[in-house]
Amino acid sequence: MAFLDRVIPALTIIVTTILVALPWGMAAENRFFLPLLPLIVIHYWTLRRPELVAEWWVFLAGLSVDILTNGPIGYWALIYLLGFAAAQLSTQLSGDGLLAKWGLSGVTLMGLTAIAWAVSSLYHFEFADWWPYASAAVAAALIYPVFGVVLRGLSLSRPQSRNALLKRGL
Amino acid sequence: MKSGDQNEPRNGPNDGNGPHQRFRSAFPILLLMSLALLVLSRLEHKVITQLRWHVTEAMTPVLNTLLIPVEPLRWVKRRAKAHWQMNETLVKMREENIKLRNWQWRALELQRKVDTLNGLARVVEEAETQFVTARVMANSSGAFVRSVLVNAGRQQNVRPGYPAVNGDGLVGRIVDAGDSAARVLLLTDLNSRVPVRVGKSGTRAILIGDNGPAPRLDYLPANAKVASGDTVATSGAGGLFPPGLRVGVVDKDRHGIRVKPTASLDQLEYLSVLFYARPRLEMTDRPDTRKGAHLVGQKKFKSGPQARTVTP
Repeated sequence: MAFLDRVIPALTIIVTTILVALPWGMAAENRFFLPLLPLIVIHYWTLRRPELVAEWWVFLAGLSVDILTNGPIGYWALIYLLGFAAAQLSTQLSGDGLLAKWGLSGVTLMGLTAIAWAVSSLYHFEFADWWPYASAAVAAALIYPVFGVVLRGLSLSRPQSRNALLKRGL
Repeated sequence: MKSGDQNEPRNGPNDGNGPHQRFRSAFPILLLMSLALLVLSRLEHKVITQLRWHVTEAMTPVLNTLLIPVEPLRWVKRRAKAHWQMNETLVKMREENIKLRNWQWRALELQRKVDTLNGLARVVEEAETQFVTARVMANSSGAFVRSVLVNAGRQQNVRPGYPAVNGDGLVGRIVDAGDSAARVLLLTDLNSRVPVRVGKSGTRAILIGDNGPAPRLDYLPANAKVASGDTVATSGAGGLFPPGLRVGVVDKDRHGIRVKPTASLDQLEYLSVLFYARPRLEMTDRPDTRKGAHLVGQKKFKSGPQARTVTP
């Protein structure tokens, strides 16, 4: 049981990484949202169980998305690593309330998508169309709580609330 | 943090072995690696291309397996859409059927005339193009590319450059081929260039993808008359694509002259790869006595598959 609890974060990251590449029959403009799904999962688990998410997994998940989507290698690896770093830093900031957590994750996703847009523009040496990125970021921020509920249900044991511990001075 | 406290989280933020310690050590290295790979990718380094293909090929069985639960979902989606649009489709199909009967009659008449004229002019018969039908395993449409991965590769005689079509028209062309998988660059991709002819006049142009849903029509002659609704087909110029493959319909708007592909590129499930090799000139005489050249037609695949379908 404990083993399963430890592998669930990695497993969910792998599954969402592969889901990105599957042909869902979506319009190409709407597919911008898909690579943000592993990012949501990485962000969620890093906030909730940071001891179970290693940078290497995050890096490899990003590389897999880059390879499967035939994009430039290192692009999503970079964005996912930045997402991981943002989540690591926000473990100190995150409030206990659901809205506070949602707000923080939403802002993080928006920021990371803006970086993704900037890197894409830099890669092509011309401004990329911002609309697909913006709509993908909004969609990802809206779907975050749904993922939160699903991933919370998958998690077999509840972690200690780090913020609660910090507040208590432990 | 109090030592020995039972509530103390293991690998906490402030102990030496926690994630923050790892974060400090490995994170900058991985970040630099990502940036380095990104630069190498921009430079289109050979190692990157090879790495991509090795990993993609290794992932092929996984993607094929994962498609099994995806198929019923897509079937349900198709059925729901068909049911939703049933009445509308029925009316449209009745109208189309009447038009098509007229066209059938005209086509048969024209075929008879063409056969007669071909016989009189002793026209060389075009070689039949073999093909293989493959399943779309992965869709790579995103910020950078518009391409799909199919489950047919070099083992099925699929080679880079071959055109890919489905029932509705041209889809794109093969750009990479591994042993059991190949990547199809879609018409809408930024790097896609297709020589086409437009409308009844057969005006030559180049269809240029820009990662948008409708590629733009460029290099049209200055006096070209192109209207919305004109049909677009491959011209065969350059020898990359066979002539006459249906591509799309002209859609003129404020963004310029664009072509709406007839094939639904976002909803590809199966596509056929045509074994179309560029016709080449082969000199039959020694260079010093060169007086003429012999045109060698399409390369025939003697041991190739005969319209074989590849499914997992």
